[in-house]
Amino acid sequence: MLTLDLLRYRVQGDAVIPIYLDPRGKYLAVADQIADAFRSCVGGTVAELDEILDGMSGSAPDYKVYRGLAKMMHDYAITEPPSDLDSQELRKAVFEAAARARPIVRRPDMLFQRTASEVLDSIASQRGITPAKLELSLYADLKESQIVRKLDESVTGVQLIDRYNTALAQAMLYRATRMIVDVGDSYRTVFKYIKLARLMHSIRPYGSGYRIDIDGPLSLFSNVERYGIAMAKLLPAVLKCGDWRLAAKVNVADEQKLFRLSARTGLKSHYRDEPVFDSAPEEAFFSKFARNTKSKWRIEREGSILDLKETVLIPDFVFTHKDGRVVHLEIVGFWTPEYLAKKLDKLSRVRDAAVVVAAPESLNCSVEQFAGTVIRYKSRLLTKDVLPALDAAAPPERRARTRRRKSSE
Amino acid sequence: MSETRLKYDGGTLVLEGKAPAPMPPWFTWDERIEKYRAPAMDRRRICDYLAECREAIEDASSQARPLKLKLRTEYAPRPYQREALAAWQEAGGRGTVILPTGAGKTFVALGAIAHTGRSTLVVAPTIDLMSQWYSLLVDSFGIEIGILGGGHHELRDITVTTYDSAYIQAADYGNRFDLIVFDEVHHLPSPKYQQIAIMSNAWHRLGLTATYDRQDGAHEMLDYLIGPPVYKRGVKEMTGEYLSHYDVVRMRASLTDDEAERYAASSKTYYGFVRRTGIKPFGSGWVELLKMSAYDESARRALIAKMEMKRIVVGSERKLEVLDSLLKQHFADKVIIFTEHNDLVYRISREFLIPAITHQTRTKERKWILDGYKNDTFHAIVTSKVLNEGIDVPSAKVAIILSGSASPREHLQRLGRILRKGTTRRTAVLYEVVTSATTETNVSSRRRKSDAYA
Repeated sequence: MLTLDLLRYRVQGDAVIPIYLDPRGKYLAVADQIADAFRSCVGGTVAELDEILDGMSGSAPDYKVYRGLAKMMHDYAITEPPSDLDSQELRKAVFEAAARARPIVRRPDMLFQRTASEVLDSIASQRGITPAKLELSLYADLKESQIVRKLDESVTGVQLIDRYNTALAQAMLYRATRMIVDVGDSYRTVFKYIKLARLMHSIRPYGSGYRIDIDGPLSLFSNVERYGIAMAKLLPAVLKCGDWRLAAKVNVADEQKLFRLSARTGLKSHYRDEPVFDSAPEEAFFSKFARNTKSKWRIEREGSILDLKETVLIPDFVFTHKDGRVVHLEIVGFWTPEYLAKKLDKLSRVRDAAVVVAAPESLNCSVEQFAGTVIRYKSRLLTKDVLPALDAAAPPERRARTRRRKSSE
Repeated sequence: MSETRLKYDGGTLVLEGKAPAPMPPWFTWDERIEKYRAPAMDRRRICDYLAECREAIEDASSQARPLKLKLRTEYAPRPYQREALAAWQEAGGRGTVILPTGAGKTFVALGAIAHTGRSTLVVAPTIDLMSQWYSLLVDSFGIEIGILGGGHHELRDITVTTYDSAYIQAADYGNRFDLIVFDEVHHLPSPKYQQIAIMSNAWHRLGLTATYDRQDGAHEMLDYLIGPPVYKRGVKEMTGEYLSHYDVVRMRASLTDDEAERYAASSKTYYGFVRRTGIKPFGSGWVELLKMSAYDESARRALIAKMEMKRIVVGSERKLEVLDSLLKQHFADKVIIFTEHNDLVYRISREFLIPAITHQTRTKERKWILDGYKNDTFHAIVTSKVLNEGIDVPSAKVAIILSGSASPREHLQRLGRILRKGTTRRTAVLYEVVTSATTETNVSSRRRKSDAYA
């Protein structure tokens, strides 16, 4: 991510807009040059690399762009210390020996004749290494002594600019006090990151999707910026959602401004794609059920969010009947006992929504502690087992109570 | 077990189970989880309030532990240190102690930690002060001390940290300590740092400072965050005791021909710009130049030229020759070398094989360097700006400044440090090595106007 000092933005009324780079604009050449500079420095030190990069930006007033691109480029590079010896331990030995022989002088005279190289030579020979190796190892742990070892060779200028633009939007969020995300679908990753960052959410249905209001425990008492970095880390997960919009309140020069983003901004996520299905049997069940056009139930993968306040449950499948009934299906697979206990606790906290649990017969646990409908299946989950369970969980006459959450309130 | 429970959640307290009547006023209904929530700092107020109402509550919010601590240091506290500790205890283990720099505030804290006997977090403004606390606590209690910050991440019953690290980790460790000590507590009321106190549920709180009042009046907030001032002793009552005599010796080093040539070229670029634009070549002009350089190419060229000038002057070859002579001359004395440029620190460290301390030096290495300096293993150390704000190097007799910013406050601190009263009263020498016929001479003469030389 970018540091705050490299953030470039402009203020337009109440809005604040990062100054994104056009991946086909004039900075493409700069991005390519920076990638080349890194390539030419493989095997050299970070200090040498920095000198080349400084030379490139020269007296250009837009040096923040250069530095920002270089910062992002660092993510594609692997650096390591120039020596495998323990620098701190070596330093201690060298300085102690030098202190005994003090003063160490640059210009020997009649009185004082001990030079640094004498001390270094004697320690090197004690350790069975060359003096050059010792000198190299003495401060091998400094940031600027690190060697650029490897580089992701395939990175292009366009990729670098994409990465930079996303980082720019992330840096804009560092000062965010509150963030609102509207999502259409594919939002599971967002909740994973909300949980990881220990942020808090409130959710309500919005359009055909949801509106998620994101902040942290302390936000109840004051508008703190402390969750901004966590929100920034959440952004690449938001970019993975389908049909999303984001609005954040950010502090800019002591004023509160609005920062907006949407799928149309064209930012790219570098987070890994999550597999759509947890397992092959799940996928098989889905496609078989979806192909059955005669059924009155329509199946949807992870189509809804059940808000459990401190957490959320995104059931594996949502079934919507033509008459409006909605039933959720959660498949409980093989996992650790702790995971299972947590899952069942979560399931038992669901109110005002119909949930069916499916678990393999081989699963050694008391799924029965879950009060709702349970399907135990042998090797594969079959449509013919699921259909009666759906009707059992949401009998036609109870439909008013089992519509999507909001309607039951 | 009580039907009402207090739990810690990311810097706040959440009420679980039966709602007490009356509800303590510090709680707010949190729609997001449909429970009551309060800032963690109000734990003691909430518990006291409920006790007064005879409402039972199970306080499950703290993970702090009781400790068996014994002070190993054989120091005899000064009367005012004993009074300060007593006043803090009297106030229920909350509040701020105000004592001038050098009066041994840290010993008041050691007493408070030993007396409280619970998990303790010490928060210091800089990594250097944090490192100093680390050494002091290790030596005083003889137990492992945790460090959060400066590249370390070790949590222990007694842990030291910086305001920055404590701010970042406030939600994670806000319930691990029952005593929280804020060194230089006047830093605490900033919007960021106050969250450390707000998100901590520590029952006991101690603030230490020499300068309680802030211009923005934010110190009033400290009363709520950690408690009101409990003890104060002024500067006037104590100055004089802590300064010894000292000499200031100015040394000049000229530039080599090559250096002089490069300097002249950069100087032409820089002063050309200054004349054209009319900005001041120092002070506020510098800030202006930094700002302009973000959009103006000639300003940026001037900035680069100015930095090059500084680099030449600071790291000039002749200066290192002067240093060479001084180290020979004082080979039997304790020497501390200052320069604000990290490159130069490491160059001196490599050329003279002297231990270096910069912002990249981690806490444990600092400790063996400073310990080695104290016990005469090392006779010299070289450091960049980092030893500010009252780091104790009591045995330093000779200080050599190879470069310095013109800020008089910083300069005074540096002076005060080496001149601070040690075990024996000796005359200290301060060498200031400047490059002649350059701007650095001006910086130095401006600096000399400061009272310390009067």
